[in-house]
Amino acid sequence: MKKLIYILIISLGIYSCESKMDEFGINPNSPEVVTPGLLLSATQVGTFATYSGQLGRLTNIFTQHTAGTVEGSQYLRFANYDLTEGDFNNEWSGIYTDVLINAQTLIDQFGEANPYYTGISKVLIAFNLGIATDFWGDVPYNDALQGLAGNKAPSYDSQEMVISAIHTLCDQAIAHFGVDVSANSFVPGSDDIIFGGDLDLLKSAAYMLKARYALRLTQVNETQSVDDALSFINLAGLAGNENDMNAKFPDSGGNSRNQWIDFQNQRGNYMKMGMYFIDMMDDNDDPRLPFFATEDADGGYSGNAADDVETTTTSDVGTAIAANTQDIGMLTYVEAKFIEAEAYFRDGQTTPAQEAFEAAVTASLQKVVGSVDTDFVADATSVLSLENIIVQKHLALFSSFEPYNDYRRTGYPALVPNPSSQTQKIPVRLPTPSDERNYNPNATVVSDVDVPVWWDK
Amino acid sequence: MRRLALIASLMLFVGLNAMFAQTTTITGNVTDSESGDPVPGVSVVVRGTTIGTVTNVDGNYTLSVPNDATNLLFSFVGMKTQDVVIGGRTTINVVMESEAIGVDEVIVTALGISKEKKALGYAVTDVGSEELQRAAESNVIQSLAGKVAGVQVVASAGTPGASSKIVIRGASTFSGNTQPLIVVDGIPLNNETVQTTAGDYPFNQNLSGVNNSNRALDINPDDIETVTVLKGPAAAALYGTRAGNGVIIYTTKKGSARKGIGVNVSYSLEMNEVSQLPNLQYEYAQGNGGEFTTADPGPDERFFTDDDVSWGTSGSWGPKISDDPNLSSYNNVDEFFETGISHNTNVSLSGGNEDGTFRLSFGHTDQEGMIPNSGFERSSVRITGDLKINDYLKIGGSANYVNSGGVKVQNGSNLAGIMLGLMRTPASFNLLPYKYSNGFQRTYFAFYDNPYYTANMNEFTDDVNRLTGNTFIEVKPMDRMRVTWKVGVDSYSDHRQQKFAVSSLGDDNSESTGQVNYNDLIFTQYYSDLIVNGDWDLTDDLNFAYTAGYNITSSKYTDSYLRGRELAIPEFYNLSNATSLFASNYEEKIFTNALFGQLDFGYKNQLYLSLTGRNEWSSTFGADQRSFFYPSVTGSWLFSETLDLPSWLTYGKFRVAYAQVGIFPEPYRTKTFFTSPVITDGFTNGVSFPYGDVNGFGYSSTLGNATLKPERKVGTEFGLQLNFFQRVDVDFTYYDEKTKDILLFKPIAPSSGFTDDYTNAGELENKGIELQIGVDVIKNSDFNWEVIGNWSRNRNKVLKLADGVDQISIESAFTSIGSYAIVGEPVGVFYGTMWKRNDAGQLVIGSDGIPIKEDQEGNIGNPNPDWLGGLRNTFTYKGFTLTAMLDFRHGGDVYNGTFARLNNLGRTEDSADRERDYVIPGVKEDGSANDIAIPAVNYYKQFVGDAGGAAEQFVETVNWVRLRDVSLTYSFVPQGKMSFVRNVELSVTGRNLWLDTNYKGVDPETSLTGAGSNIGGFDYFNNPGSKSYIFGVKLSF
Repeated sequence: MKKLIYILIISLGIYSCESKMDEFGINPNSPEVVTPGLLLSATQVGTFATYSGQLGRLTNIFTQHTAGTVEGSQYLRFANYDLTEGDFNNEWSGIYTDVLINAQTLIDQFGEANPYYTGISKVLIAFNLGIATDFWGDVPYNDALQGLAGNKAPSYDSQEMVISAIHTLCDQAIAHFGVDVSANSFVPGSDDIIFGGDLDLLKSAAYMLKARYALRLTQVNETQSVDDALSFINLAGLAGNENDMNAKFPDSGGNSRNQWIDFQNQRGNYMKMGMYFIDMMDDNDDPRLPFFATEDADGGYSGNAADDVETTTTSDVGTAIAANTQDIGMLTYVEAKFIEAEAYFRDGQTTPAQEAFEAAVTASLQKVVGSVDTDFVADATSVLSLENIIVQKHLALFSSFEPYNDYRRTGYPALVPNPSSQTQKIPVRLPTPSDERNYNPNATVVSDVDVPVWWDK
Repeated sequence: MRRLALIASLMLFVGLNAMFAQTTTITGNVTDSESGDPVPGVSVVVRGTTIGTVTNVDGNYTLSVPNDATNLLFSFVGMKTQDVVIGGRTTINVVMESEAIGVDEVIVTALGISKEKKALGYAVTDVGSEELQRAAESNVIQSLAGKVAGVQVVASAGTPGASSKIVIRGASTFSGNTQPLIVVDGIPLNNETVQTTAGDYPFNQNLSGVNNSNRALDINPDDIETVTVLKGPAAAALYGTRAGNGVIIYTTKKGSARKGIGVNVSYSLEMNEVSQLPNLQYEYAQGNGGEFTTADPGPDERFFTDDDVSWGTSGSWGPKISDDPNLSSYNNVDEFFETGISHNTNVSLSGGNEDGTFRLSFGHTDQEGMIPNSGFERSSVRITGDLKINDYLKIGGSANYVNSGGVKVQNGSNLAGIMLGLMRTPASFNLLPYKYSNGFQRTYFAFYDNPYYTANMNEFTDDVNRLTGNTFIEVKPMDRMRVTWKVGVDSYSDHRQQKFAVSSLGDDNSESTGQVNYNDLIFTQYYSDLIVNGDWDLTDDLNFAYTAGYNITSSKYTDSYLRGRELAIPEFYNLSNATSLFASNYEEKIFTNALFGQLDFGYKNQLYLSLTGRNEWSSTFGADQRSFFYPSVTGSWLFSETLDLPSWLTYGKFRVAYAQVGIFPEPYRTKTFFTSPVITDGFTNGVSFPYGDVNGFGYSSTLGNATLKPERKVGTEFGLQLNFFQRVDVDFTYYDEKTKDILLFKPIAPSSGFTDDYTNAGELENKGIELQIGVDVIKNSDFNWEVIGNWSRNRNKVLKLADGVDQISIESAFTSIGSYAIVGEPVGVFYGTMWKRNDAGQLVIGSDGIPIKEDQEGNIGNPNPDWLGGLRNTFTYKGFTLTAMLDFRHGGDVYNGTFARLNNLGRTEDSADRERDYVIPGVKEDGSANDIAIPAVNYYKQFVGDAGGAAEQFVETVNWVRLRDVSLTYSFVPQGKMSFVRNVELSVTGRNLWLDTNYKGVDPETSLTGAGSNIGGFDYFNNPGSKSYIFGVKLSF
């Protein structure tokens, strides 16, 4: 009898433990189910981080808009073109694990009933894939983002395939934006931080992105590249700077400050303005200079030469880029007009090329300064040449990755690489991140940063 | 000859006594029980007096004793002391029995089960209260440093309340907890070291923040009677999933049956100083390229406003100070550190009779650090008692309330870090005054806090209230059965406040607009053990004991964090004063239960066998894997009892053990969850939600795993314990321990959408040797010299990670160097940037005169020591005890990131040699010897500095010999008016007074990441170690 009671007590104990076990197993800290709006905003904020963070600073050092200094060890290495495979793990996984996975999850879990959300997600996938392939060449896409299903080592797609996927994604997105609102369970609003769910702006962004990647292939197939670029720009139906797809920084709530000013505050003097950029602006009395750069210690504007890693009394990045709530352009009307100008120019159509060129510089001034000095525009666009178009684009698109892509594609502007660097060559790609080299047997590993990507012939 | 002199003096002494009292002469002979031979040199003393003699070469003695003498004490080294009643006899012959070392000693083992030491089949080490007090440490974990073979203790710093990490027989895992289970009087005690981390903080907080405490710091060392270290799986097997890293059992002091109440009062005064610092240069001023610059905030005396004149520079590459009449050289470092004064007071009352005992104690420790304004205070009240109600029922319990906390010191890679700001301070800048008249800080570089400012203005305070206790009922319902039910609780709240004054750069977005953080950690654990045990002699030769039990453990932990930024009123730290608020929280609940049992067999007091098993269920295991079984088998053979050994081998025991134990998976890892993302590139705090007024969730970067199970550690050990000549004790252990199914964040290609997969995949082994030696070099009634030593080496090797993974980062560290698990290498090796070398191992120098780095990173050092040793010599002469402990460490690398950065900034003493060019030894790319001369600044920045230097350049292999403690104690019994005092003990102790090391930084017993982290060996502006002088007095009434 006594034994029986003991057994009863113990088994009751174990039973109650089983239910306790389930109760204690529930995670009070993280959800298992979310909404499409939450995934979309995560995707967008991840994109802002990618476009306004380390990669932006790095490319702008390469293009001599800015200059790395001794104050930040890594920035001194960047100034010397000394890149390690560990330097960009963070940026790579930012693209795949902060942005693409969430966009793809939105499509997989909510796509069917939410074409608008799906469309925005596809544009963002295309945009981020573009960043990845521009820096790393061949990157995973078709096989990527399937970790949950068990594929933990995606194979790589050629850059040619990735760029064609960018076009397909944009085309699909444009089709999604065209469906009736009634086909959507949820309609994007403030969770679309970029456009607030404005379908026209979204559609034109998709075309602008297509135009960017069409013109990217001038060295692959110039004619096709130029024809496509012009047709996409046309379809984009651009109105002006209000078409811009910008990274937004509300600077309220959690950390949501413009990342250029955040960097300048937290890592003061790691990076100064570059001498090439400042001097060119200064020489031409460019009205954008006081907006692109702060005054230096002497009250003027100055930048560091590519091999000057010591001076820190030079100008910092100005308020047109580095200010708490300042937008950072990701796909802009200004860029579109430069694309148009270059495409017409390459096509031999000088009149529309000149028009687009002037429109581009005008829009840039409008955007940066707030007013347009027409004499300056006339001066800046007085010579219609590929070099001049690219140089003006280089100036206008400070902070964007495009000047670096254009430099690799066209060789303009004719920058002098840092003569004190070991290689004396501006790197033309980023090394495959060590996380991929180590953990992905299917990775296409390129560690040499002097090996160009496919579109850079 | 010496003995003759001794005898002569004793005879004289006896003779003197004889003249004053009525005496009787007693004679006799002393023989050895085994051989029957006479034993010379046996001390024969009248109990309660100093009257005595020693036996002569034939074992005979003659002694005149007072008529009122009742007993004679016969004692001799290695033999049992005989207490013989005189009973009117004049001839007393005595047979002395040898005292086999350890034979009758009893030790507390797992779950509080007492066992005879001789029956143990595994290595345990117990450390008594006296030994603990010699260390004079306020942290009971740190007290074990150097004392136990196979145990490595690393203090994170010499600052008050800084954590100490303890690793037994090498790290058993890399993703889970590596700290042993701490048990106090049978109840587990939380010993976590928790960093305050905001929910939106994207980095490894262990690299910065303050030196937090490990929570075993709440134990008052004065309450501890013994510490038992259960090193291997076999010793700890009954703790199942919590035993994987060993167990440390603290047994507290209890009252005992005595007349009246015993009162002990002790007080000590401690003075702490900095032990070792890197050497700096004082010749060159702040600046770059020979040009002097320093920070100037302009007329408003505040940085980051429009009128700022200059932000200064972190560089000390300015002009020579002696060349510029406007510049002076300041030794800020010597000036900065203070002598910290600490007071430690303990009072205890104890007493009891044959039915019950009690002990009541109060302890108070008040430490002041060597860094201004830092400190730690602990008050502890403890009561413990038990009562025997009748022959069948006994009850008891204890309760301990502790209040502890203080002002912690900013550490590491932290713009408000003390050492960061201090060591980088250019020689040309006087850190004082540290404030302008408006209260904002004055500093040499606008982006670093003045160390005085951060020490005085950016207080981090913690305030811990902790209650631990247990109650037990012990019932003996029948013969051979005892039922004990023990229930314990460990509950603490830790209220923390971090202030960052307006103008400090320590706030987490470096805005210098002021910040205040509140962090409340609340932990509660309930623990219940129901144990049935008993024993009986099955036959005359065969003894049997059993234990069976059931355990329930339930714990809950919550962490609430509040932050206010942009303080409107300086130095007012209420959240109402902040314009930007943030809150985050974390909760964790774990529930486990287990059935366990133990069977012990003893044969003829020579052969012992013990079997244990524990089956455990836990809420953190995968849903399909909730039950696990942990067995152990251990045996021992006292061959000195069985075999006819030569007389010099007085004791011999062989032991062997096999066991399996486990390490828990983290909770909430069985599924893939969504989290609110925090995205950063490592240079800014990045972006996080709420983003404006929009919220966001994305997939966590770690894939969950429904089949999680505990890590399983399988250990085998062999041991041999010998005693020679009754004087020399040797204990040797060899162990081979493998951890399988190690839980790891298996890195996967991020292009899969996830960066890692939490999975049971790794395997590692620890193999090692432990040696403990005790020698009674001289042992007689007046003078003793005892030597005890320990030596151990552990070889750790990662055997397997996961398919396709041969290296993983254990915990994020620095961009250029991390701590990794690499297959075939010891766990925690440094992985970082390397120089490119030719086949002959020479550096390959680039056209800029600087060596070229390899494209890919690699293994560049091992932080695990080759071997560790401790050696204590103790001399006692009458009431005096002089004891000294040397602590040895051989090998084990430290990443000296401090040195790397100080070279880069031109602050090191070496870098003063800058008026010349340098040619780095190596070959150029064409194979010819390097002849490219480079300026000193390039050499110090890009070769031996971290502005380009490969991380391997800064990895130093560390050896040390340190005088861990040395003390002189005088103990005496006061006479006359003071005789109400039963005993007085006066002591002078020095801790870490002498350190001989090849390390170029602070005391190399240092850890940037502290006890809350699984990585070690990083020194990046770590707070320095201390050396201390302690004066103590102890009175017993």
